[in-house]
Amino acid sequence: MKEKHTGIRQEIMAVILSLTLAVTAIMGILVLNIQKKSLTNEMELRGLSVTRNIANNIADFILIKYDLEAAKILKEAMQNKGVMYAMVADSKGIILAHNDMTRVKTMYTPPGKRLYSTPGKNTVYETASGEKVIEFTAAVVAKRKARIGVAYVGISYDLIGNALKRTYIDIIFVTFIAVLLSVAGAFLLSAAITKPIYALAEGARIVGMGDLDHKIRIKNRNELGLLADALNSMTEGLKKAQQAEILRLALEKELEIAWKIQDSLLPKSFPDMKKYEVAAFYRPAKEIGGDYYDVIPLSKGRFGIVMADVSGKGIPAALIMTMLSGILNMESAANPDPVTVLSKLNDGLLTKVGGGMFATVFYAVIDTGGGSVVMVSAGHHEILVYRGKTASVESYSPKGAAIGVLKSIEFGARMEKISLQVETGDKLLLFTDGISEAKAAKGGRFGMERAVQSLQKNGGKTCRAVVDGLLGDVEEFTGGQEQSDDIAILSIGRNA
Amino acid sequence: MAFEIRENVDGEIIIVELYGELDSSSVAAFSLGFKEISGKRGIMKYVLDLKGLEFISSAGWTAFLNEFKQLRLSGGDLKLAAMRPDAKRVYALVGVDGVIESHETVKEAVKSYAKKS
Repeated sequence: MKEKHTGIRQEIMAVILSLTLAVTAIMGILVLNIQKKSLTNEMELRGLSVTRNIANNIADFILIKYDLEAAKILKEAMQNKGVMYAMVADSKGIILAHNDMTRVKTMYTPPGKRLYSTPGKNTVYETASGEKVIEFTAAVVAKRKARIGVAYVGISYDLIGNALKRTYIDIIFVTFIAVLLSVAGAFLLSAAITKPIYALAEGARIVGMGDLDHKIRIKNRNELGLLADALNSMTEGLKKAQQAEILRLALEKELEIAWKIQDSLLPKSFPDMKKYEVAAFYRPAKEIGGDYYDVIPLSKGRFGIVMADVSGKGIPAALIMTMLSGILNMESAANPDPVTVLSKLNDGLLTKVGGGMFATVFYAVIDTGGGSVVMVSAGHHEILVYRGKTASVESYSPKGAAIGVLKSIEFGARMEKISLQVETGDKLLLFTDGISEAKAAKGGRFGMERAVQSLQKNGGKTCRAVVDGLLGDVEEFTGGQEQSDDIAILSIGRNA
Repeated sequence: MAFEIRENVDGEIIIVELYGELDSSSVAAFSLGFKEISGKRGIMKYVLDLKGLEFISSAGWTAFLNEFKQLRLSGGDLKLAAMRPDAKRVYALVGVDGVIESHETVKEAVKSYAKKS
């Protein structure tokens, strides 16, 4: 896992060091060049001045053959720094005066191999011993312009080399100091950069191990500080996303449990009702609500028919539905009067629900012997009845408050009971507001009117066809819009 | 029209205006919005102005009952006002009329608070 990384510190130091070396090298070359030029210039001026001095003063002494005086002038010239020889030769090259008196009367010869001419037109020679000499010349002219000869002065050219050597040493010293300073500077700079980077890397590692509460704290207000802020907000974002995911999973689990509860309560099959047929459909919404329907067999060919809708979602709604189902099954068996059944249900649930949730319940008792139906409603919307004889639809909506809203006395006082007779070919159609309030993609709700039309259209067919027909009409109306509430449909028809 | 919640103040009474459709998909927006307003204003007397509310599902009525219950428990109050005919029908059908007071207009609802105290 761990790869070998080159240090940013070494990289910074290498860059700064090479920059320093390059700058000092360029500076050194420039300084040396300038130094060399100025030294050469100075030497040429000096050499010329010494040579001209000889030429000016020596002519008369040579003319009157004052050899000693002439030699003295040459000796004086020799006092000047770097002067190697000084002489005067006539036009034929015969030496008239020389600092080395033994050379007098001999022929002038150049001091060595000619190398090159300087910008001041003086010649540089290399002697047999390898020394460099720059030779200056000046015409020796006596009074009345009589030309006597030429004065030659040789000055050691290595003087310049020696002077430049000192400059070299200075430059090397300066370079050394610059390198020391740049190494120190690079060290401090790289430390300032790498320290927060190490902190960032460590922080990222800790976050990577799963500690999403970790905050990276670095003092830098520069781009690294920015990076730290970005990492911190990323960690926060990850934490939020993680929490959201946990919440989502919890919600999913809750819905799964709610669905299991609901599914266990809904009838898988209906009791045998002899001359009557039953069909039902149920589809929960994504966020499961609490729709419930049932056909409860009672004594003497009577059946309790239930369609209920618990307001609310998930497990709370499913639990209320469980209580509702339990109380209804128990009370419907014990009480022949449907008003009493719903009153008992309200009493039983009011304390549990406590006003925070309510349920609308439609409850009817059908006597399959004679075909009489007695219906009550606790805040549930109307139910529809298809009359086979006239092929018409009737709507019934017994008055009554929803379960869990009002106290016993008031609840009982509002309850209305409606009785009707069911003949052969008649059908009851019950559903929850998942049908009547189904929303179309383009706006608007399905409503009761469309449900009536649907029953009108399919009432003459089987109960299954009535249920499927209503569902089909709702789906056509909503046009693929996601179902926001549970849908429950129950149809009971008399066949003979 | 999407659901919307706004607030208004008339003396010591907070008027909460609701617009659009209040159903299972928007009931959370109502609960959160109302909680924010009541959190800011404190336990007060509230009037829900339903003039702009085109539809109220059972989830919406449950939410009204819940807020009413919460406010009553802590000494506040809530009244409904300017309900549309459809809403009024369900209001009576479900029995919410036996629990939460309703008035024809917001003005009347505000006035009814003044009478009591």
